[in-house]
Amino acid sequence: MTLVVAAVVSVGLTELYFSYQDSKRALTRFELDKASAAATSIEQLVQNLLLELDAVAQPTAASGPAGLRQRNQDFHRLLDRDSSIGRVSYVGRNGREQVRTSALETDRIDSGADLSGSPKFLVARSKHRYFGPVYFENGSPHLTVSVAERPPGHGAVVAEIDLRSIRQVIDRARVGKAGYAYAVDSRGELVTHPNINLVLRHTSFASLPQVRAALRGNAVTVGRDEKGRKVLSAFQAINPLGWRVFVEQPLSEAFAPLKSAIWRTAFLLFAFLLLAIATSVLLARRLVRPIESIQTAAAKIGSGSLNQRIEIPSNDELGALAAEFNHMAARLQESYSGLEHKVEERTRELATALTELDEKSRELEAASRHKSEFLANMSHELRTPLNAIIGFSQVLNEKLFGEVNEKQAEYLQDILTSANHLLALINDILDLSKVEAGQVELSVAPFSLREALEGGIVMVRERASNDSVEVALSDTPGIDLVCGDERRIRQVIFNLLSNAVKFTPAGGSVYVQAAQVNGEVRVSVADTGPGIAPEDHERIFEEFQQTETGVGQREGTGLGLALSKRLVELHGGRIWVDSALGQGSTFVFTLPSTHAS
Amino acid sequence: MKLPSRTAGVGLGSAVVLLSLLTACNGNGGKSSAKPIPRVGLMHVGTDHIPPSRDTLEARLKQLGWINGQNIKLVWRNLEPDQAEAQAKEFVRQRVNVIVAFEDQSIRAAQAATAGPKDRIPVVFLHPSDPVRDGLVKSLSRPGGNLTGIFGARDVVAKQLELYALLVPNLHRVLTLIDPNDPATGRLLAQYRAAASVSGRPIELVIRKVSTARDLQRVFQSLRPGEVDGAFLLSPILRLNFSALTIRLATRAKLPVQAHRKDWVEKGALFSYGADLGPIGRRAARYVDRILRGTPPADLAVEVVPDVEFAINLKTASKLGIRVPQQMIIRADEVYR
Repeated sequence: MTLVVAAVVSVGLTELYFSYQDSKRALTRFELDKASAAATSIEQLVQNLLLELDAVAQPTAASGPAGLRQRNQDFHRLLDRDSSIGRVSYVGRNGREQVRTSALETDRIDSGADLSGSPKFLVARSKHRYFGPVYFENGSPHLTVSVAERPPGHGAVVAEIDLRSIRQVIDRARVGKAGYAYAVDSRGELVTHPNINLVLRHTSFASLPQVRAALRGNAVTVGRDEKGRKVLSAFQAINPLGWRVFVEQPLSEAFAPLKSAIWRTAFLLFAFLLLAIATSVLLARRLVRPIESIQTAAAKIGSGSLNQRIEIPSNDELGALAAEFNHMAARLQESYSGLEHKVEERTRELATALTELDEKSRELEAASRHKSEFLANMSHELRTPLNAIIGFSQVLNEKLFGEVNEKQAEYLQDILTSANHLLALINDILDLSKVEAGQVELSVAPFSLREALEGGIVMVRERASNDSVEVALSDTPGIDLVCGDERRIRQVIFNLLSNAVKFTPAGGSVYVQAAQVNGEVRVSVADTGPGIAPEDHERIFEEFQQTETGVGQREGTGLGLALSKRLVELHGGRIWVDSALGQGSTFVFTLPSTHAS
Repeated sequence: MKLPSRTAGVGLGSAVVLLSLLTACNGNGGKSSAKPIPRVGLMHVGTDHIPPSRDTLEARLKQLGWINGQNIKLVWRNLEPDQAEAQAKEFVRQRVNVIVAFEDQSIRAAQAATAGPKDRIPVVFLHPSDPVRDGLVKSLSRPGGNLTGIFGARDVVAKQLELYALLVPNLHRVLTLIDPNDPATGRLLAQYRAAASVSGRPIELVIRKVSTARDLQRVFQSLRPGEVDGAFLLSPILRLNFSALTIRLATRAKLPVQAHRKDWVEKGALFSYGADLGPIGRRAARYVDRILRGTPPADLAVEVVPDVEFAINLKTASKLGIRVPQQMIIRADEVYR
């Protein structure tokens, strides 16, 4: 479209430019013709005037005063014929004025005024004609014209011409409505102009560009008027006078027909542009609207409303596109609903599995509880006969009912040892099962950790001295009272200490330490025993799990550490072992610092 | 691509709308200015006549588009000499747009009335004796004040006397009527006397001072038969106010009398030599027009119309037994037979 507009505009402009140039040439030529005509008319006027003056400059038939009176009469007739002549004089050969005839002043015969040095007289006599410069009298431009007398008296006739009379001649040369013609003298002074006021004010046009150029003999087509408006100008020189006649027309008027052509072209251009714009807008609408609705529908489908459809009634490509789009949306909706269905099915299956799992775990939980309850009950029930076994074995061993032989004593001792081991085992199982069944309740109170540690050491000291194992308690600065179930903590400490003494070979040592680390109380029991392989570090805290060393000892239930772990954890602490084979073991448990006071 | 088919209709429609808009814009050229129409006060002293320049002025104004009563109001006041001042002041009070003053008396009154800094209403004068000398304008080409105008040759008393002598071969003694109160009298009298002295034959000037109609009547009554050969109204103020009376008195006394324009010749004066006032009125219209269109009077140069008219009444001549030379009849522009 831009291309079309550019082409139309450039064609229009070119056309306008050429018609502008043509009009200007034609108008200037026309003005020049007018100016030439005006110049010719003025020259004619001057010629006529010269003929008239020549006629009255003829020597008179009579001589002396009668001759002068004759001249006066002739001059009167001249003044009556030509009202532009204000005054005529006859100057004698000696340059003295002999007759002066005027319309307004009294006639003078032999005034004797001396003109012998004036060019009015001298030039006329030598060159036969004289045209003076333009001068102003009574506010009006005047011109002196003199002609020489044919020999007899050989004087001259001098006439003063009021130049306002040439206005009519010049006015005939005007062009158009606002056009005008004027004349300037050789200095650029206005001689005549339609605006008489300019003439009466002695205006000089010498500064107007066209006048300036004309006085130098050059032509300027576009000049300015006295108000600075642009004018189309042409001039012609008036030969005998050295004047220039200008015929001018304001550009605005001169190019008015061109202006209407410009308007017409502009209007047509505008109308075509409008048409083009309207067409393109309509086209764009018919294209963009459907595309927009497709876009909107696509966005809606994108955001999930798959039942969206596009309504385009047209049968063109866009209609086809919309139909395809609708088809696609339908397919998408179909697949989407299938997918939804499948997800639903799977979810349902998953839910069922979860329910089953839940049920199973509940069953499992119940089984575990039953197991713990069973163990607790069982232990209790086992302990009763065991107590009888131990009691009676002790009574027998203490020989309260008579002597026993060596062999019997040996067996009694075996029974007692085994029974005690069984009791310990049952007690541990009972404790453990109570913990698992959630039946253990801690009776938390502040107690002296140091005392608890010392108590534990006392309990193992006998065995340790038997096995030549040194047991030592390091200083526990800042730690005295801690919060917890003293009996349970003592149980844990004893457990760890007895394990340490048990597994430490003769000559080894057990070292007990308590410290405040990171806001918790940390109790460690280090030994110089065989150590525990890292893979066993976790296992040894499980029920009935012992290291091969432990199993080799044939001592212990495999429940001590599991129980200790449960008890420490009940207090909110942790328990672990740092150890490696052949390096000894350090069992550590912690109690949260809140228990310290 | 299948193109839409309704575009042409829409384009044509918008073009039509545009066209109607354009024509609507062009049609709205009328201005609705409620500007009051300009008023022009015209004043003249001399109730026995109306200067012919008044009618030509009005006619020319009409040609220039100023139609009295329609878009211009011309207020004409023909006055007795003692009314001029008051009328000029009245025009100023009414704030007319332009005052047109005919002849010296009304011009002087208009000049005085508009002299105040707040009263500088433009004044266009017609037929002043000498606008530069009388201080109406600074110079002809640049008036410079609130007065400007036009004048023609008038009171060419020297030339009139010259022609008088040529027309009446027996003219030796001339009753010359002057009003010493007219400021122009002294100047004209000097020219008149000079003309008498250069005349081809001796002419005796019988000078009488008059100021009123009664004075005039007394002068004519006191003339002895044959005391003078003709009468001459010299002071402009006299010809303004007493031309008709003088012609009547001179006719009764069987004396020729000169006039300054041909209207009086038609009414019985022997001859007139002076400006034709009609064209001056026509040209004066240009000043009123330019001033009403905004040109300050100071910028409008005074125009001098040098054209003079020579009229002879042969009826009067024959009644008085004067034989007018043929060559004078030839020179005349107007001859009443």
